[in-house]
Amino acid sequence: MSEAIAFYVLSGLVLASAWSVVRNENLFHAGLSLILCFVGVAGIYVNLDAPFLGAMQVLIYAGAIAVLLLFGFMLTHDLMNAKQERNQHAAGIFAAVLMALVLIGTIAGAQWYGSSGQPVKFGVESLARRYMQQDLVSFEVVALLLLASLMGAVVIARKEEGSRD
Amino acid sequence: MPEWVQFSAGKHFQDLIAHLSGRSVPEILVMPIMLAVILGFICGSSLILIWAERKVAARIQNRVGPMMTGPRKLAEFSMWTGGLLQTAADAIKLLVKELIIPSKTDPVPFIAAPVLIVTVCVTAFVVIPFGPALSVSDLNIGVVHVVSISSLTVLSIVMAGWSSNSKYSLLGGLRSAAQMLSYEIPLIFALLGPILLAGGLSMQKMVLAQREYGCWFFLPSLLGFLIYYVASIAEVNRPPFDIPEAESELVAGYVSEYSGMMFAMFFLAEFANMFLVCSVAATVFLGGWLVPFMAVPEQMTPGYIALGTLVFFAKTSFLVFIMMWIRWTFPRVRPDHLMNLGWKYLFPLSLLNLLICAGVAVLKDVYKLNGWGVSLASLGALVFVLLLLQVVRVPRPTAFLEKV
Repeated sequence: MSEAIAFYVLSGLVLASAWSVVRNENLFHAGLSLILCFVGVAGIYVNLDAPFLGAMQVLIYAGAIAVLLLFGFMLTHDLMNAKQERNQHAAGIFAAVLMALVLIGTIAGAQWYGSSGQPVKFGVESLARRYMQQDLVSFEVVALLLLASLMGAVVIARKEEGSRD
Repeated sequence: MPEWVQFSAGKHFQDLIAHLSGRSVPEILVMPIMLAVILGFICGSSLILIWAERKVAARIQNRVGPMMTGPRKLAEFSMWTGGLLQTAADAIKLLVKELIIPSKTDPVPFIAAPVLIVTVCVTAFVVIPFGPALSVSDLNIGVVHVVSISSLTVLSIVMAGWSSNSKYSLLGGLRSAAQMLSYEIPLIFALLGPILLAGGLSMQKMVLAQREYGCWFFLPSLLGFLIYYVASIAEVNRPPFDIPEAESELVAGYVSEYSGMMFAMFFLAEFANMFLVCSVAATVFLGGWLVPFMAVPEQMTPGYIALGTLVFFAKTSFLVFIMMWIRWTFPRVRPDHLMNLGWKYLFPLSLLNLLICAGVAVLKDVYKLNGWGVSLASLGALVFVLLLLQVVRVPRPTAFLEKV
């Protein structure tokens, strides 16, 4: 019962803040709403007995990525007066409808497996087994991709030779 | 393994009320009451810590510090007992001051920022084991919970910096975002060593693992302890890493436009965060509430709980004192030096610490080493690697860029 209440409250929070991300004219407020949305999603994870995933969501999305986003806003010139452009309605609606169709199609067509058993209790060992034995290849592929993007970012961001300012 | 140490403080509270009045407390009320207790605790501890900070600063600078507010008899006794009520008086002054919200600010984030920073702090304290069977809730993701919740502190500082609509605040917020994001990485990597040794994330398990090893984790993971300590000073924005609020150049950084109670909330959170990082260090690296040279009893005993709590507070206070000592004896670092230290030294060294801890954990399982063996092996490995780095010329990590 209390889990259902928590789910509806959190879902309302996530949807409202996501709406605010899209519709807010003030970029900084939109960024803050995005963080609220991330935290709401983390709450849903915790509600689903996945506390580690929830903590990681807060740590990586709300605590690092979204803050970097705000960091970028703060470096942007004259942000106080910046307003979001509103001339992309048609494209936005098209993308949203397309996304909704894909999601509804996937969810309706998927096979759902339910289980009445207790959720698996979280442990570092099960996490480690998952990453280092079962899903080792995909884990390494992701690591390699991240390394490549990191090096790419360094190459793009580094200063040209002899252009010290 | 004594199971009783993982009881939560909420359960003690329920038992106590049931014992006193014969009525049971509904489950849904326990957590709010416990959070209120934590809030009261951090308010009280901050009052003491601010007084202590002023006294330590005074002693280092050959002064006596605040002496006038408080019992006169005690002040005549020594400088360490004078001015005991000074911070309480300051807090009352801040409470009754007018709350000024400057007209050009962005009001919602401006008011939300101090609320958020205190909320984050209270939430992070939930898993701290103040003694055996004395954490509010011993979540099985304990350490990760503290780290992930504390990462939201930077959000509050960014909100304060931007919404104040002042150049000083904005610069302070920017610097703080860069600094806290950079130092979070060595901080988490330093904690990974003890997590590997303990094989779990829960704070009470961490303490029990140190009992099982027979040595506190600062010995097998010495490098990790030092890195954690340095990175946590940077995380709580204290000198020598206080460039986000550098008084000489930025007025007061992100708190420049705040006054009265909202300013006090930032101040409160700063001291509570200092206590938080020190209590995490005491739990993870210094054995938490483990009393030296004393076995943990198999059954719950009030005496051991009291003694353990005392030991925990002694360890934490010692670490807090070192932080104050560092604050009043080191000059502020320059921003570029700060970034160099974080990314080029602390981060690679924390990876080295992780490697050593992993090796030591394997050695312990294979050769059944005891605590001293584990510590010696890890310290030996550390010295060996550091000597090796002196002999072998390591190519600079950015060398590949020259050919691009």
